[in-house]
Amino acid sequence: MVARFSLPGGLLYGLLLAAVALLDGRMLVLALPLGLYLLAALYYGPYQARLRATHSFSTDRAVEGTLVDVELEIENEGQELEEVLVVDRLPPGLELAVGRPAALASLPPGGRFSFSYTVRVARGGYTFHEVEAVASDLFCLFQRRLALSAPDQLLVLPRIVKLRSLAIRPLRTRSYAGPVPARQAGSGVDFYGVREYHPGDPRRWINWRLSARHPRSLFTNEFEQERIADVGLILDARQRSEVRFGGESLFKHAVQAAASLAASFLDGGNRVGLLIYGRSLDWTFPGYGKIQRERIVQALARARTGDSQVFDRLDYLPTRFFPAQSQIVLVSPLWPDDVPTLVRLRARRYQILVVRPDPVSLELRGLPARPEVALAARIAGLERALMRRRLLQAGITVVDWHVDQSLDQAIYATMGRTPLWTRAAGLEGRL
Amino acid sequence: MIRRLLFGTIIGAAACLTAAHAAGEGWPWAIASAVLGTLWLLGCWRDWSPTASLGLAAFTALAAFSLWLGGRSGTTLLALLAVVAALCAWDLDGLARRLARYPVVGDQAELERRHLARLLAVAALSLLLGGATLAIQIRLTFLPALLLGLLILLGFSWAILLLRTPDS
Repeated sequence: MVARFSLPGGLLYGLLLAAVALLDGRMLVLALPLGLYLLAALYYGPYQARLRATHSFSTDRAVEGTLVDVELEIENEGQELEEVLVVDRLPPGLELAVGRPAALASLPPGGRFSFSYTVRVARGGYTFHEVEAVASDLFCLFQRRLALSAPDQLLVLPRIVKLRSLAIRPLRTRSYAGPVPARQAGSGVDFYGVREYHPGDPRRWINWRLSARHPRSLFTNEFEQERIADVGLILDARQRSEVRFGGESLFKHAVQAAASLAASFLDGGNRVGLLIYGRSLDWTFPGYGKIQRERIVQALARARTGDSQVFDRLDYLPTRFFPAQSQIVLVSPLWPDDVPTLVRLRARRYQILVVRPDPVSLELRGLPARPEVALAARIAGLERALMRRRLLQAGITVVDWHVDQSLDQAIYATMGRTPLWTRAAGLEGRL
Repeated sequence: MIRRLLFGTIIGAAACLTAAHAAGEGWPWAIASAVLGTLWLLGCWRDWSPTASLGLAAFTALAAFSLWLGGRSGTTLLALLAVVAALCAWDLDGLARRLARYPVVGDQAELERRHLARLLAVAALSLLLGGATLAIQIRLTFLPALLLGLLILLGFSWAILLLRTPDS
């Protein structure tokens, strides 16, 4: 809306001028309706407009891609406002799905009204700052603009995919029972070894076959202890690791993968920390359980890619964040110059798992099926295969993830145990 | 209802202005008024935004022109009617646009009714005062003209002040 008083005001002024110039009183008669119209608007003008705005959301914790209802309530704390237009300023990144973030109403003193609209949300933290209100008289000639402070935050979390239990084997585990094989004999499920019978061992643990071969000796089966482990999750948020194509973002998939992995490890009782490595180091201190899950998911909700000269390469990865010989999980499309750093980490006896969202498959989706495109994809695929081979040689587990397929499938194809008969038949990984 | 009233006031304004010029035997201006009225109607129908402002300015100018050309006694009343109707049309056009652009919370009919009531009051008072003023002959001598000039200057400075105030 623009201030509308200038046209009738200008015409009134023109008629008065004409009356004076022509010395014609009849011109004043024509000016009369315009004058009365302006006077009426002036009399009922919004001189003491005082409004209060409050936001509320249908949910405090939305998941990306879902719809969120935003309700805006306006309360009049001043004089009567004959017409008030309220426009809510949407933070960038929110997409309007249903309704409009604006409404027109008339408000008596102490009166209130509310309206709502629906937005489609993408991952991130959104801060609603101000609501714009324009109070005016009924003719909308004189307006008073108000910027109403209505701060509120909406946090949109990444989507978490349920993953099957991940078979990690760090060299060092913590002292509490958990799902990770501890490389130590004790009570467990998996067979670990055999030792001489000690008084007090359960009879059902006695290895009768071996004992039969050694008269006057008894042997007891040992099982591998299962404990919880320290897991350090690293999300690569360097700008060069981001690939955007046709509205799709590789980083978005990487964040989803990191959130799903964190949830899976925490569900297994492990202690998980998160490092977002990009413009700066965003470190979420290791912890257990649901609270830690919430901390990690909130950190991931706010994760953004960024450039930094210092953290452009993985060389400055702060290893002191991760306990010695623990499990490190890196989610990154990975660059060839990252490989030596990972090999060094492996040499320091960290157990490393790399989840590589595939940028080539993401870009191929939107490119035409031309021979040169196919050739480029093949070359890029070979480079990635070479990188994978170097990592595997260093003892690093690599999960290549085509973002079209589910992360669970990709991980299970690499790390899941396949039945013996498929290995024997040479069908491993194809079923 | 607002749209129907809007078209009605435009037609009324054009008819009054045409009649005002026809009464003064200014046939070309009468035809021009009718054509302007048709254009305003067309603009409203096609939803061209600046039509209403142009229409009000043109109709007011033509009404003043009809008085300047001189004419019979009924010309002034017709010109006054044309200006009142044009003002109503301009106002209703603004209201219709606001209602179409923004959803109204609460009772829209009540908002429209209050607006129309006030507009009707302004129009009725204008016609009443205008009619009364026509019955009284005003002859501007030097002193009233000077006072009027002073008033205009004051109004002008007030308008500039108002324009410079950011929230008005």
